[in-house]
Amino acid sequence: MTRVERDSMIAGIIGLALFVIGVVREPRQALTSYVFAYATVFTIGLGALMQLMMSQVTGARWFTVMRRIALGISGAMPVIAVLALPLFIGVAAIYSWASPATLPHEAQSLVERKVAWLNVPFFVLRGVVYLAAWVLIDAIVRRWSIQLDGLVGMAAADATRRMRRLSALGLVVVGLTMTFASFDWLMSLDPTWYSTVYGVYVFAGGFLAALGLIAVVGRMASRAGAPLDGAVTPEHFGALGKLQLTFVIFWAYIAFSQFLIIWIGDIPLDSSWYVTRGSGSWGTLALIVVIGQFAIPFLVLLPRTTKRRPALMWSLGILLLVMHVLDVYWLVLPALHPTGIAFSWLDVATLLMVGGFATSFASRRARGVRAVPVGDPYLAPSMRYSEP
Amino acid sequence: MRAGMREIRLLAEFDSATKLVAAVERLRQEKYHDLETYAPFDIPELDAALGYRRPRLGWFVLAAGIAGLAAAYGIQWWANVHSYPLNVGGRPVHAVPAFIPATFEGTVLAASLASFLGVLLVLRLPRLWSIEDEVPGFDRASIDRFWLAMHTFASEHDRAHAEQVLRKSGALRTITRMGSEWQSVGRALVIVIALVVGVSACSDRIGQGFDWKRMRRQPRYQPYGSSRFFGDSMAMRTPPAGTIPREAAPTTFDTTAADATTLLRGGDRFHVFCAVCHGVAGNGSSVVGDNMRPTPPPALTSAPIVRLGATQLYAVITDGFGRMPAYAAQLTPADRWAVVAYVRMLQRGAPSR
Repeated sequence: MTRVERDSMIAGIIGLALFVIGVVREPRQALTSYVFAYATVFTIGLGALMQLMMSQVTGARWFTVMRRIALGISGAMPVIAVLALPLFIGVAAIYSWASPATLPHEAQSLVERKVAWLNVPFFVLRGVVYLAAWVLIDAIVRRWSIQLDGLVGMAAADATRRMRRLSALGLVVVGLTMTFASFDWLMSLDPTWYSTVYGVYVFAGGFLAALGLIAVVGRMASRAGAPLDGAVTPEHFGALGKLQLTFVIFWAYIAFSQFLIIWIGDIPLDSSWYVTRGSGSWGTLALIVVIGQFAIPFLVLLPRTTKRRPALMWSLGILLLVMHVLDVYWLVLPALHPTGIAFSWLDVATLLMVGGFATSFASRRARGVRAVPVGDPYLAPSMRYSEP
Repeated sequence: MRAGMREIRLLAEFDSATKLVAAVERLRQEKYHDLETYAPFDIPELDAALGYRRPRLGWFVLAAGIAGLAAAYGIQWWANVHSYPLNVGGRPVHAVPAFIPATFEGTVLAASLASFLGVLLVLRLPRLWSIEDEVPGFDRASIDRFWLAMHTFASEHDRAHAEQVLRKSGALRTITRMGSEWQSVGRALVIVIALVVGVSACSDRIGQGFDWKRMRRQPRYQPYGSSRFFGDSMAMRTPPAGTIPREAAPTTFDTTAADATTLLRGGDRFHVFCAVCHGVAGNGSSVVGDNMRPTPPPALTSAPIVRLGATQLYAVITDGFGRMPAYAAQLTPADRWAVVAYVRMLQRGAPSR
């Protein structure tokens, strides 16, 4: 067992123990914190999976040499599926739509109209379908990618084309399931509120965090003596930085379009969500996320030179990850504490648990897998890649 | 020398990129700096040899973006807060979220216009004419030759020395031309004046009293109409018997009976145009070919290609196939047949697999 596997496993077990205590003592807080921690992690895993498939579909050669990093991150998918269990078991304690009787009178009639979609058996069934799709797609991508290591010539070319077709289909499937998963697991925390762009918002945040994590791992793995030393160069960080910049802007664009439509419509039912999240300490948090997930990365990623510095990209990756945690926290926790931030030790415990188990499992699964896809016909061009 | 003065320009033609790069390096060592190169493809080594630095266009674009941002926000603020404040459903007149989309668009518009115009400005485009255009054979810079152009010489001795350096570096020929940038400006002016005159002719007054419809009414035959002029009373003529479409003209060539001159010509053209991808031996092994995976150019000596008829090979050269472009522009019909004959020879000589 490597150090990363052991340490993150220990973190996971400590988190699990604290979570169990939390469920006994204050179940609603514990489970809502769990939704926050779970959403933080599964969006990063899916972001990595999306980036894997997107690079295949677009034929991004620069990414070939970094592809195994994304594959390593999405390797957490099976454990992410298992970690969804508390959501299904605790559904009645987490989501107010599961017990409409407790809701205020006006909200009750609104929620009753959504019963065909928002009911516990269907919720669990849908969740199982989403998770099965993710685990399956990740398994095929991983299997084919590792098979490719032993292929040469036309066989490798055919395998690459096959992977591209699978990725095109997989992007559609993951895109749709991720959208509905974010509706089910996150948006339904406020069952009277809805926004159609919500799924894209959750994707954009998760994808950005995944790109941040790829930069962090890429920096660590390309230091002198590390497996990707000499393979991943400033040229690759430059290209990754451009993609990050795109998605920093994309995230801001999506976040703002959701806000603008609701702000300008000014309908009480819609704007209540932003009133809660925009006032008091939640408003301060929103401002921090806007600065940390948009303004700072935007300015840092704008010049060419900054993107080409691995150490800086590492720091920025950490910032993006921290901001993703805060972003999801801002999405989830106001449902439980509408008056302002009420920090709980369970927020940290659940994040330790989900993050710890996911990291430990993903790094255990990456063992024995080559650091680069040696059979990929685009590997040589990828290693030679230089930014235009 | 600045625009307007007569300008001496020295041009040199090379048959390989390596020689061009070497010539550039030597000239720069000898302190000649005003160099321009023309090549049919991107040569990364040239940027270093010419000492190109990354352009500072980014700063210009950033400044324009910020200006666009300020202008777009400013005009909205001025209109909504200062000039004509309206109460829209109780929202504040200074409605920041509502101002952002137009501000965003203004930033993007100004920045992209600045980068577009900036590129034109830095490259001094559009250039309607340059001396190079009048050198016969210069157009091969976009096919298979490499050209170097230089100007601003301190003296005739200076120019002669540069010419000597170019010849030593393997230039096929050197050409000295005189020209003036005013010629370019003059031509631009002629075009602008012609346009202005043309546009001014579109005045309403000129057309008054003139029967424009006369042009539509003039006697003429419709394609499928009848005619009393011809015996078969049809307006449209049938081509003489035995006429075939130009594209279907029979093109045959006995590749087995090609003489040595044809084969040498075919080999020469093959090495210029085909070997780059298909390999010198026609076996599909080349640097370019390796980079074209997963669909590399096929080995011309492989069984499926050997089975193709000579006319099919000719057709592929003429029109291209898959990722291979058409070579009709670079190879005359005779040259194409010569290449086919050469390929046939390679196929006969190839070791059996």
